[in-house]
Amino acid sequence: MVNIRENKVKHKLGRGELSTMLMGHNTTDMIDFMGPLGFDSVLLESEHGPVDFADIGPLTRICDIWDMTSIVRINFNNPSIIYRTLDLGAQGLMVPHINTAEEAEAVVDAAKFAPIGSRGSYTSRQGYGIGDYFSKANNETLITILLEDIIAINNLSEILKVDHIDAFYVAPGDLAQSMGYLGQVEHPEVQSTVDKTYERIIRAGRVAGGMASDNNVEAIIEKGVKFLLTSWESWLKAGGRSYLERIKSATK
Amino acid sequence: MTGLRENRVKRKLQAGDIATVISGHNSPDVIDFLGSIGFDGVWLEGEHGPVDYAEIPDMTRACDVWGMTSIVRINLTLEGVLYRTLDLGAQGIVTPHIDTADQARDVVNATKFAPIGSRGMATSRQGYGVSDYYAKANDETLVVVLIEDILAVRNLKNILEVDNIDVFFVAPGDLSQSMGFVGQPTHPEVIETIDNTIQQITATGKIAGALVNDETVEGYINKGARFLLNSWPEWVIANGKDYLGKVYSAST
Repeated sequence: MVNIRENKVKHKLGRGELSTMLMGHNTTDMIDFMGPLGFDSVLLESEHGPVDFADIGPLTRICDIWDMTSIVRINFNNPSIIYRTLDLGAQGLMVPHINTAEEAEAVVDAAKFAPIGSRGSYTSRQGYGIGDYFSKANNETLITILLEDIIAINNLSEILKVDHIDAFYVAPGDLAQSMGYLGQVEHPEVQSTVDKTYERIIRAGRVAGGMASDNNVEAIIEKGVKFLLTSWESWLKAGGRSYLERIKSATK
Repeated sequence: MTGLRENRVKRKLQAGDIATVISGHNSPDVIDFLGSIGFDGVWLEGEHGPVDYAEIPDMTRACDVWGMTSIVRINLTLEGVLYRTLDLGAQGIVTPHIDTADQARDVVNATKFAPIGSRGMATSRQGYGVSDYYAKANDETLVVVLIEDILAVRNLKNILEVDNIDVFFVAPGDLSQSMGFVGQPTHPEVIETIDNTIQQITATGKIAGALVNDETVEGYINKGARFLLNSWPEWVIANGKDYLGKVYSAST
């Protein structure tokens, strides 16, 4: 009998530690290549991106190989989507546009087996060879929700009371749009709303998540944010641009 | 009627310019993402890597969208492999282990229509809507041979006499192995052989290609190499390590 695979991010966050998550074009080979870098988790993008149900098995297996938590950002807060995503091997979920406590409760209900919720009964790929999968799965399933509408901020006190949510991620892009500042995530009013939201999450004893780039990672850690998302695409772009610049100046 | 798509790398080399070609985990989405950075060509890896025939159309289309030359490194210098790769949409071919003038002539024969060669007759995806594809294809097909065995270096003079090869690329990995220095592509004797080979190529008026990185690129430009291959995964790893370093030091 084998033990259920540990959820690295969930346990790190549970111990009050920082947890890193990497996003960027998802392919099996790319994730495999990233493995030795040392990120805690990979975000598999199916809210806006191409990750389909059939891709989840192979993509999450690569994460398993390197002990990175596989987190799928889904497209729609719906029980069937949530349990099918977990059944296919995801260790974690990121659910967009959670605006009310009821919506947050629905996520928990769909992602956790009884007695916490009523997740569709089925053995995930993560349960292969595990005798008591149903009693252990809840402890290794990460739930993160996105706060990304001003209405969610208005309802924050109630949303923060919902149990079994491992991280409350404040997503600036849609939040800015919902505040009337489309494409202006740097707008002072958006930034101050984001910061205040982090503060409220942390004060409630919950875990805050946020976008942490090369430029703001120290600052966001300073604010108490523990769940850090970054994208490798900007690294590729920066490396490519500076390389092409070198060629330009070498041939001048 | 549409014109045949230009081969940017070939044109730049013909104009006496440098051509930048980028390699790294190939997926259509990643290639699309690379487009805006400004590389001239993309190296699709089918010698050691996963690129199969069925993937060539989608990957080369992603190159077409951005005007980047699609260059497939094939696994076997065989007529059927060469023309099928071109028929599926590749604008360029890299053939490994070309050690003799006869082998080099075979490559030209298989990749060029008459009167230069006898490439198998089929209209490539690149010929859609082009009325006189067979008359124009030769001008837009890039042929690169790899000089990567000490035997090839010894036969270089004869190989360089073969016409219609756009680039003689000096590949350090296998070359070092064939010289008895497996895994030591930067061994002084290997570097010296590479430099001498590049010199011989450029002295005959032919174009030399080299594997470069951010540190060596200026050096190879000064040595006269004009087909420059670099790899983007190194940038991701380097920047990723910096980022994780920031996270670790900010959290301790």
